[in-house]
Amino acid sequence: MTTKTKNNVKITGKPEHPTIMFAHGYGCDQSMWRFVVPSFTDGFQVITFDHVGSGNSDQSAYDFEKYDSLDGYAGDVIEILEENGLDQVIFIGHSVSAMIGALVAIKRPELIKKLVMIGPSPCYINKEDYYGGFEEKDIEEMISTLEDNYLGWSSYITPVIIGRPDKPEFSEELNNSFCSIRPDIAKHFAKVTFTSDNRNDLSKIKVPTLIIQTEPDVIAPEKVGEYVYHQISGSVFTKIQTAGHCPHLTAPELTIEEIKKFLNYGG
Amino acid sequence: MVVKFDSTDYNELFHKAPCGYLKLDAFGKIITVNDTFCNWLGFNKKDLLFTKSFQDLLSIGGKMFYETHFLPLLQLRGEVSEVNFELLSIREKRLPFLVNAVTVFTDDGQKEFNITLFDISQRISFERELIKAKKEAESNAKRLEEKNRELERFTHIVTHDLKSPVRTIEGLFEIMSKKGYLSEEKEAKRLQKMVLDNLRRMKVFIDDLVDQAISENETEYGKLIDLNQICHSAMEMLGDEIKKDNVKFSINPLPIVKGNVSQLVRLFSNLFSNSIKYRSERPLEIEVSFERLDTWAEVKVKDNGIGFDPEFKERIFEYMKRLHSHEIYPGSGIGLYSCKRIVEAHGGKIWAEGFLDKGAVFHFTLPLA
Repeated sequence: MTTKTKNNVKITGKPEHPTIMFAHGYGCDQSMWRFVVPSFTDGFQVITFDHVGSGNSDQSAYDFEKYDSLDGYAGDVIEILEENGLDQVIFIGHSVSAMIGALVAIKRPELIKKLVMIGPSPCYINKEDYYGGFEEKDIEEMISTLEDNYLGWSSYITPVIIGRPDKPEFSEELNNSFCSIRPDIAKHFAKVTFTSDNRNDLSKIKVPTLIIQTEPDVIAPEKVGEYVYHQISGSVFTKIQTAGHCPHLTAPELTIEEIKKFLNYGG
Repeated sequence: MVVKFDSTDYNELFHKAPCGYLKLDAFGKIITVNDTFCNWLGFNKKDLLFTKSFQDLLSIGGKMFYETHFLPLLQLRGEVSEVNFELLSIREKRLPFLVNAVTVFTDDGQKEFNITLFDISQRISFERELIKAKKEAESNAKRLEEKNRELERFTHIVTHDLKSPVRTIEGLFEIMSKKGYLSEEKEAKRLQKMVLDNLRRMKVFIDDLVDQAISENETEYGKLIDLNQICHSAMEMLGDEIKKDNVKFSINPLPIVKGNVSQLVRLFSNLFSNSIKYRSERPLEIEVSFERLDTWAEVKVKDNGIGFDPEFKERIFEYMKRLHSHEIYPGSGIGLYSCKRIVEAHGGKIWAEGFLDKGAVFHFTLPLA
């Protein structure tokens, strides 16, 4: 099986230009990037994909052992890049994918030229003198919220296409599995994401890194973003004036602007 | 009759609605809220309006779900329905709600979210029971599956380990008999015969056990199989018995089905040897035919043997249940049980018709190719 089907890899933009890869976080799929991607297709070759288990990936490829740590996901990113003969890629990772990108940059520095972390957290659970924002029981509570929403999930499978009067270019057909995820995978992915601890990896990141922070962000609070910034030497920290964990959805223009500034691209 | 409905009525409809109703701005701040919602959670309107955002009212698990699922869906799809959230009342009490939301746009293109909430405190306890029951059922099924596999392995080992000593004993007994080591005394001969009979019973028993254990590798049921060939393979397997008893077969053309070759050969040979074993004084005739039933083939194996009392038509398929004593018809009581397992593994059904001394008909269904 190629990564094209396994990870539902989509390549757009200009093949002769540098490559920029967008990796979605926990809970949705690559459609999270739809407000951001169009701003980069003129100057870059753009790769988006779904993590195995999410979106339109091959759910049968979800191996509970392999994906029991973020390394499994990092391995997939490496595979996608290798299969397409790509290196020196700009990696934009949201939430858990910010850490997945970091793992790739540590393991295979030649593959990643620059790293953009949106709402990163190396460790969600509070530990001794580290503030992650959550207690262990909070994570359990989230899992039980997931279980309460089994029913809700099945209803997501029905596609409903809502016209977007503000941005008609996005009224394209949405596919059936839009942001849907198998409940057992959702639970496992949540557990792996929110119990991961990659604090010790941060200082090993040697590529230029941008951290994009919002305020307030319940999932990755500002304190955590600052921690990441202090651990990665030479990194850049920027705060976007919007609330919530998904600035690429709530404030795509600001997010695009920060990424462009970091890449010295456009105005 | 013309019904007049003015803004006061809409106001009442909004505030006294049997659901919580609120409007959020693009950042999730509450900009409108109805009385029902405020009463349910014990808030004053001014505590909420323009000060709290919707996710401030969620439990921690809810906040995480909101950020990772709810909001992305609402942003990208424009609506979310039937999401289960727990909200915290002013006294920090957790109240379960079913939440629906849609994205709307103001005249100047600003994004807003309309949200309705339905109280589901009674339903949620029922749902939690269901989830608990489902979890229990899942873990039971898993345990059972493991137990089954264990049992299959056990049967496999036991039968294979038992086979060789039994063969050896039988062989030794024959040698002793040839060399004249056995007594020719009447009582001794009776006892020796009993020993041999019991050994043979044991052999039959072990062979049937081996057959019965549908091995772990036999899980392929999708092969296209010509039942005519299967029938002939089964007859070849029983070659000696068929010849010895001069059994007359009439095999009508049979269809192609989906299944597992070795299991289906076993099915036919078990049924044939069952007919041979329970033949009557009459020369034995076995007839095989089939009927098409939608996507299924109903195969019939009919004989003119001793038949059975219709009262026992279910019992004959039970594990190690026999209608006759070993002395009259030796056997383990596994043959037909094994047939039933094979047919059921193919998704089909097996049943039998019979009358005492009037022969028996075995029916079973298999999926047509």
